[in-house]
Amino acid sequence: MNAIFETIMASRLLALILKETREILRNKYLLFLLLVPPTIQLLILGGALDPQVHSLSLATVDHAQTKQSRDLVAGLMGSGVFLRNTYLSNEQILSRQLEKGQLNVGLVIPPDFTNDLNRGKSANVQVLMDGADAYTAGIAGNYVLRTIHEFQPDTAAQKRSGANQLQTEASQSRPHQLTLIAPRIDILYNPGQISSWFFVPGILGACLTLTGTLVASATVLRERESGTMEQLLMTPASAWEILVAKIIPLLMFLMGDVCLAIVAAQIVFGLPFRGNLALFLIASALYAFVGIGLGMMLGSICRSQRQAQLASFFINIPLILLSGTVVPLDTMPVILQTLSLADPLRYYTLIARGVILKGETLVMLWQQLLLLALSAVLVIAVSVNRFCKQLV
Amino acid sequence: MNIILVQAIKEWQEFQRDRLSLALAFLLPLFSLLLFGYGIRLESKNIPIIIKDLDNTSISREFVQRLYATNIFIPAVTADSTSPQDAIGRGLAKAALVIPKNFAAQIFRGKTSPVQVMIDGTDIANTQIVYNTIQAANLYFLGMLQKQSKPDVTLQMVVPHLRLWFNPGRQETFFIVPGAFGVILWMFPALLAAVAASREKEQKTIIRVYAADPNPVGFLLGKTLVYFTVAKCMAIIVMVAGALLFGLRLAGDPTPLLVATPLYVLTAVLFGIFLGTYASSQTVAVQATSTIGFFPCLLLSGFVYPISNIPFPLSLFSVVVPARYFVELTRDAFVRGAGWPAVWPIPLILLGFCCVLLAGSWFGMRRMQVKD
Amino acid sequence: MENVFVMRLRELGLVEPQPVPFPHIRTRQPTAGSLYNLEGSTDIAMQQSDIAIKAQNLTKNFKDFCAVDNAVLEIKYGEIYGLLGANGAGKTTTIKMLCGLMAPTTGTISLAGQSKDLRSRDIRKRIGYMSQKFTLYDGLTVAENLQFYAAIYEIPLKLRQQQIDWVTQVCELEDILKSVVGRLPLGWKQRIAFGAAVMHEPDIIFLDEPTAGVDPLARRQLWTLIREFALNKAAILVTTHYLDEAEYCNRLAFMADSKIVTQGSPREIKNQLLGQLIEVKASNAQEAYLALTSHLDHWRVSVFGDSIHVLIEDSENGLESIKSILLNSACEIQSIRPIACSLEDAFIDLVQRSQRERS
Repeated sequence: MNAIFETIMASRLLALILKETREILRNKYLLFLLLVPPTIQLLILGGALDPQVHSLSLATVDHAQTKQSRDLVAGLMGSGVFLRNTYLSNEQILSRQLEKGQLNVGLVIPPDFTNDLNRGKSANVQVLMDGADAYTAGIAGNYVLRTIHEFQPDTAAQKRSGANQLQTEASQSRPHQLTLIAPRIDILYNPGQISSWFFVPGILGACLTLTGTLVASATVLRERESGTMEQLLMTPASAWEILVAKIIPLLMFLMGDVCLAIVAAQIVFGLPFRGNLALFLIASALYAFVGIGLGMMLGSICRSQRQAQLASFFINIPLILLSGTVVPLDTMPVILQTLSLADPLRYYTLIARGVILKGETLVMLWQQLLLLALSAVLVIAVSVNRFCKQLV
Repeated sequence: MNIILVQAIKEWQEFQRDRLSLALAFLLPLFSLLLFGYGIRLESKNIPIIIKDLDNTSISREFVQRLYATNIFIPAVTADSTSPQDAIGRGLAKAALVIPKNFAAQIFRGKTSPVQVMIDGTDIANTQIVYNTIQAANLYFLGMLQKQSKPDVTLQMVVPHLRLWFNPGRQETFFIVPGAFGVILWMFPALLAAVAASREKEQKTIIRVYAADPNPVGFLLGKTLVYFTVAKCMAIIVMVAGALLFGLRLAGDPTPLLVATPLYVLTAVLFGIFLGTYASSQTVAVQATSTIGFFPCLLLSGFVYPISNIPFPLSLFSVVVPARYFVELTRDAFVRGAGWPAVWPIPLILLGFCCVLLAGSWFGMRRMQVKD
Repeated sequence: MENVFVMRLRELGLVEPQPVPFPHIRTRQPTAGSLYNLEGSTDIAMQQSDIAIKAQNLTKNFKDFCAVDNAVLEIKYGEIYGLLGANGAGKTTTIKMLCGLMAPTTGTISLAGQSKDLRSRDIRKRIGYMSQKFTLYDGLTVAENLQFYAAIYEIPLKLRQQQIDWVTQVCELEDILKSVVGRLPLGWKQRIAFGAAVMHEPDIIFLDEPTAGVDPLARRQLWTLIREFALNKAAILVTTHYLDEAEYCNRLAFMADSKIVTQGSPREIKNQLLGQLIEVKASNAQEAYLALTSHLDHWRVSVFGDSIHVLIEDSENGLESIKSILLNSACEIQSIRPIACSLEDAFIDLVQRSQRERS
């Protein structure tokens, strides 16, 4: 046992690791950038991103100005899709506001709205929507149509007796008719629909990528540019020892990031953690490997820091976009979805969301984990290869 | 003036020499445009759903048909024996619907029949869509039933006539691509400028710069000039490409766009220079640019998710993201077409950003000089 | 001048520290045995041959120019071999090829008796290398740097501290052990880098401009150390700009324009100078120079500070002709005497000669 301990203590690898760690610790800026931005980004973006459609603005031109018309508007305002409603005096103003993009939806109620309803005829209303944002327009439109469809005004017809037997019967049965099928909605895993719960696992991965590639490429290039790489090459240390010694401290720091971020998210967003911590940590470590490996590869291929950093963007943007962290995957064209299969961040996000929110286990996630491990191995192998090639 | 030109020429030569950076500076934006323009679609279709029809009558089957007819759902691929909850847990389905045994019977008896719906809440964007679709299908179905039994009476009292302004075809690209312009024309100019501004620090020749020029304005403006020109070219290329590929057309008066675009890329370049001035090395400069520039610009500018959704106090962050203003302007220029009345404050705001950043960079350089 | 400087410093009490003997940690038996004076470690036997570094027809061509042209070298154990030349002459490229960092375009190299695989771990363990560029880690303290190099060269744990102590003593690092290297002035860094490069008692030491930026006292000290290592049978290849240091070397090679112009001991090289050097001191050096060069071959006349060295073939006639040239000019002769050739004279002459041969 002693012999093993001694061998480790005396080993070149340990010396290299110590050196790398000390270099990072001494570099206050680097340390700050390694530990702080991921957590802060996570908190800000986790809190800010929300794809749901709510807080829209509505404006109404109400020519009827009766209780029914006001009820209609109240019905629309009820569910929180609209944040506020403004009453405008005429359609011109409405149009202008819509043109300027100050409104999402405009409602125009004609003067004979109530009269029509009282006579048992259907009343027409105009709904004008800002279609610039097709997605929001789609959802808001559906909501508005549905709400108006369901709208049941108190009409005078119900009070008149005998005028039209069919009508009264119909009007009496209407409210009831509409509730014949009652969907009982059960939202699983995130009943409060807290959007941060959805984004945080993914953004964590994205931050790991950005930080990992940048810092890893910088450590390789800095050594090369300062001439100490040459010195290292003249020592008995082998190329893989040099590389591993660079990877391990970075890995430790990134894992620290992960833990810090998760704890912060738990405190700030109440993010649950329903699954196996070990599984999550293993996946995070694998993914950190990928990020670091990519960075090292860039550090070996590129000739200067500038090239490496621009190149890292080249890799990071598609990596993040095709992973499903920020924008949905299932709506992309097929070719992009196929490319997404090669994206390690995609698997990490699936695992992270699965473990954190759904409590998924290894049994359910082993495929993703395997693919993640494979990509980590691949990236590290390529980066080692490139690293060795650049020497002499 | 001379100093600026001399510095600019030197900077241009350095930039030209780096073939890879050049390619990346022009190819990367185009590449991103393609990725964003073709890849980002928020509107879900083909949501996998498990429907368990325990009633299996013609009515229930019609109901199921109605659900699929919305073109939002597709049947999930799972083995029959899996419970709906399990299927959602495994990610095989995003929603589940269970039609109870006495569905048809209850309806005919005029009694309410509950239908159990489970939605995977982890996927926030989808949840609303699933919820809305099921409700809408439900109403439509009931309306159909009503027509069959009592054709003269309509359930619907108020009939809405919907008009979609500006984008009647509901093309998502009209929303995404102008936003992409804003993001691309911020990130890449800023990055190039940050790298350039910190290069002397990296090469340790910064002392020479301080010694040569007691007033660093020339140094700063020289670099700004070069990257501003590069960014303007980038802007033209990217916008023309965007128009061609995605069918974007100028709606209304083009002058706001022509005025605001140079101001915007200038802001981006100055931002990069500002960060580069304060950074102690190139790595730091780029890290800072990507942290402060990339993510917020991508996600807090209204590019994908609306700004109105951001809760206070985080919404305050969005105020200092110049991209947010430019994106508003591009969306107006390419989709709404209201022109100056709608967007007149924006070039002024951008100008304000430029001044602040320039002043900040100048102070940064002076501070360094005094320090040394 | 330098001697005067050193004397003055000594008078002021700034004595260079007593040379501290190097704690030898390696056995040098030619038979197979452990490399270190410790049980348990095994290593290959040290080569019987005395030749440590050998290069034949060493050439390096880059895309558009030739950096090293057909160099031939042989350096024995225990020898200090100096490689001199102007910047860009090819010194650093030669060193890099010799230690295996750069592959030659053509030619053969043998290092410690091995000609294949110059980058094997065994060879690297026995090489000490100090490059021209800075080789310490700016972010680490002095102590941490030394600990790192001690560990990476596999100095056994028990012996590490004594080696580090040796470097500390010799380079007078006691007060700055905890300082971060990045903040130290260049002179200190060079000394520490040297210490780090030789801590593991290498057999072959490559030093690329080890005294650049170092003060005269420290330079002497460094050379004392280098000599000690040579005495202990290490082969040392040094490049330098300082011609006075070249006197310390056993053998020298001058490089100019990627070729080795001459090789040999300092005496042999000085003897190559054809002719006799005359030192002329005049009231107006500039005028004197102009006058002399208008009558004699340009390459015979060089300015040294405020005196002029003239190379003449024939002592007596030459002296007379110089005197007459100067008398005819506006200069007053302050002194005129023959002097011994210094290495610098030899160097300039050789370089000029090769340039003339080329054109």
